[in-house]
Amino acid sequence: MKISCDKAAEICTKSQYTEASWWQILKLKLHIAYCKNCAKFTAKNTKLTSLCESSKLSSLDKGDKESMKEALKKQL
Amino acid sequence: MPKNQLHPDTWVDQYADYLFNYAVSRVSDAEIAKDLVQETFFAGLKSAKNYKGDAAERTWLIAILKRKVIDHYRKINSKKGKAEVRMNYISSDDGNDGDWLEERVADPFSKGGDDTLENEELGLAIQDCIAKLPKKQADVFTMKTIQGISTEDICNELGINPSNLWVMIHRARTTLMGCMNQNWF
Repeated sequence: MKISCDKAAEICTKSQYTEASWWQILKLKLHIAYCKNCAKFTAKNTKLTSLCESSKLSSLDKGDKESMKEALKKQL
Repeated sequence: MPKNQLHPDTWVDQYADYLFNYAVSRVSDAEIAKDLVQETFFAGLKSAKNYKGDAAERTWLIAILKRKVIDHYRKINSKKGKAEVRMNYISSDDGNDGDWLEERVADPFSKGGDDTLENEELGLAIQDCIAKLPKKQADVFTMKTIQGISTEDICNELGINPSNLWVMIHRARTTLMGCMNQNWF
């Protein structure tokens, strides 16, 4: 049941994208219970996720960027 | 010797997302925002000789984009009277009286406006930090977090394996946490 801090960090990051299994999450929770550093890290990581969500960031997709580059090149 | 120089060939990779987010928050339409960013790059090229090198490249591009946003609003409001704010007395169909204007004035206790402003700043702050990441990490993070592309698709497109991807995302997130630390955590 015990996992290393590296493993905990990996599960934590995966869980930010809901790609960790419940079994992994259980192991992570157990680890957090006695490891202060990882608890801190997990809290921060979760906060980062909520910040990213609340900022409603958007980005241009690859195709758009490519066509922009093409258009710019023509002007150069 | 000017402190900063323009590198138009790297503009799209470096600044497109930042400018795009800036534009979207002001015109709230992705298509229009995209056009504005493109126009900004063109205008930047055209007036490259006026660039003195005092400001950073991005600051200079943002200044152009600001003008483009203003121009955009001028254009859509060019017909006389379009810029007026109109409020109609709307009578609803179910026989009740419509809303009175008094009921529609801004709620002084509402925090909606502040939130919008704050989120906009937040978005640009995140974008700022993403721009400082190594290119590959920034790409992976953007695809995964902002565009929400599945792990499998990203791996196929970039030719990496999932554990590679998670390591990169992990590093990117750790750096971002450090970068955002001062102001947002």
